[in-house]
Amino acid sequence: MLLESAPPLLAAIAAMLALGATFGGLLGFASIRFRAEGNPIAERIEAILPQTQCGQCGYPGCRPYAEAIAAGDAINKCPPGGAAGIGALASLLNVEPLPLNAEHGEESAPAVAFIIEDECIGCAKCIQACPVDAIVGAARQMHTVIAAECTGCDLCVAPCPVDCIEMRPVEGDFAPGPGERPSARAGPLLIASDRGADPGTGRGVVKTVNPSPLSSPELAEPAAAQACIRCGFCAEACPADLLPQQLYWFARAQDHERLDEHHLFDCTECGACAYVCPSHIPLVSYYRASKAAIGRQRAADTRAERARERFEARQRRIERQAAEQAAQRAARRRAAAAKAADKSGAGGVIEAAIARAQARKAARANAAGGGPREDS
Amino acid sequence: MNLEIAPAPHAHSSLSTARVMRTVLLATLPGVAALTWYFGPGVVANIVFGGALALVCEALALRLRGRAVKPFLSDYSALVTSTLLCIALPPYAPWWLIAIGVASAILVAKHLYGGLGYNPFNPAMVGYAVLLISFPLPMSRWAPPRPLADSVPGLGEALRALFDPGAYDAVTMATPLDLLRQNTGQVLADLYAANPQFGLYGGKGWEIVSLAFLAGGLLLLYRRVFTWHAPVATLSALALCAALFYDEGSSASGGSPLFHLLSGAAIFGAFFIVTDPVSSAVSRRGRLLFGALVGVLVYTIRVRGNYPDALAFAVLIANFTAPFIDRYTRPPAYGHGGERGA
Repeated sequence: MLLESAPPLLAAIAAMLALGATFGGLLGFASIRFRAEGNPIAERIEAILPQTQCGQCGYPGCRPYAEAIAAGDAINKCPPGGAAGIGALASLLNVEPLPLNAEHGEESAPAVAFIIEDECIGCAKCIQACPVDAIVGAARQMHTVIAAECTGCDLCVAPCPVDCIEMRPVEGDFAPGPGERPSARAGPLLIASDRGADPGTGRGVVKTVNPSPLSSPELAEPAAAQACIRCGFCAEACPADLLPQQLYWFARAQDHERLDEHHLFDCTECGACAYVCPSHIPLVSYYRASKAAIGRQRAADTRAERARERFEARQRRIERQAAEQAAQRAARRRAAAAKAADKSGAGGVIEAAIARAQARKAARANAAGGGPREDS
Repeated sequence: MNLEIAPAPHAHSSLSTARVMRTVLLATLPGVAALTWYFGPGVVANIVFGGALALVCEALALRLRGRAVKPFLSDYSALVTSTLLCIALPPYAPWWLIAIGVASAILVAKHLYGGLGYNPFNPAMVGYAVLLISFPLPMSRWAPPRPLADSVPGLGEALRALFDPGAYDAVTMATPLDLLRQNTGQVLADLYAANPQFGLYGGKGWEIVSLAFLAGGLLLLYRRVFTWHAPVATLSALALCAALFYDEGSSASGGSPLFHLLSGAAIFGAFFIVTDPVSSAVSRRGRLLFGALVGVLVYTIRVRGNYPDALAFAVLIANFTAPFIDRYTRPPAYGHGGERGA
């Protein structure tokens, strides 16, 4: 009614104002309600960086480098992250993956620092260099590295005046490389079978198996795996109601997130799925390899997270110490100034005393001089 | 001693892909026998010619893709595809029709998508749909069943029809589903009286063929090649749709539920096509949904669409939805029943 009776120009202006106010209010509400703390892209970059805090990128730690990448720096300056890290950064930021910049070092196998304790003189220089406080010791006492916390950053090697620190490689495991067929060795080993031990019969013996079913075709040499025909027999067989077929696809795609979502770790490796699989796919081997890979990934993630926490704790400690020192220095300066002020105050007393004495002297002189005047 | 380290299981069931496929081939026998009895040996000629061609196509595709030829060739999957396709084709089809159908099924629908286990669409139905759209005339030439023909053709005539289609004088007759499609303005009783093709429930001959395929399907169920979910869902959805719209009188209302079940490819499709594991949904609930979708689509296209029978299109459309159905019917893992699967 109001809009109809008003002139069209006014109605249009009113409508625009109303719309502007509505959407402005919505935007304002959204900006407060959905405010992003910090720079989320920097945090996601930091989650990819290896948290060795080694500084080979030229920044003092992983967080500053993550912020620099978010601001546009190159992604190929992190040797510990290596090609895998650069690939992950490239796919996160949707840029071309570059080869590692050789100026910042070469990709090397993971290592931990080791102090040759007989030669350590206890100078404590390495303790100050460690970005994650992973070296313990005191002045003129022997030092040692907490191997579980060491990120292998190499920063303690150079400061050592007697060269008693060396980097030792971390022991490897049975990890299958990408694209490799999973080996049964990829996980914890439970049962050994000497299948194929007798080439004459082509039949083997399995520990814990009663020998009576040996004539069964079920114990024949395993046939080569064929393509999955999605028959679903495995899902019917699974006692934990998992979806072995989906797990198989995700295992082949190394999709750890969806494996976890499909409850891979509920699999007891009973082997029922592989027993019924008409395509003879070694399903349990795939699951075991995936479990091992996820376990390694989780261990690495935990390590990186701990290294990050320790690095941040160290940064906070250094800042706190600096602040305390500054505060103490300021306190001392104030005390000195106050003392100086006191000193200048004491000088006034003396001058006042001198003035008083002079005044008394003058008074006496006046009195002496005035007497004769009175006398005269 | 050479110790090999392996996880469980240390034995394997005697089941194999080849054995599953052989069972499926075996289960088509009653239906093929019934088809041969009612329509003559044309279907056998189709199956043999199509099978040989399928093996050639499969070997060629495997060679071109650099895969091992022998293990894949001996899994019978190509034979199953070609056999199902050839059962669906009209008997006494010319050789080029079968060749194009089999080549589309094996080369395009199967191997272009990655071979056994990777095809999103049922290869046999892709081949059938290609033929139905490209060559509608030869695809609708069904011979009259035995009770209506003077004599069914012999083996010589079957071979002549296959390899020298120009010289073969085909005797054809509209199928009951054709008749129902083309005559929507009549009373059903009149239609039945006017056309000898209609039998007791479905078409003469056709109902027995359907029952024979049902026997084969029950054998597969008994051998646990598939679960009951998909075929039962398909057939009950089809029957339910027919029951909803059937008024026992006019031919426009689409025929009785029994007519729909026993006509055309309904039973054959429900047991041999919808149950194809590769292109259907995986979970039990998913297979129920998938089968029901096929049943509804078959009824819709039969009664409302342009084609007298609709299995191929219904299955292909349902194939599109299979991954989606799988995503939303994920059964909960043991101990995770309270969580929402998505």
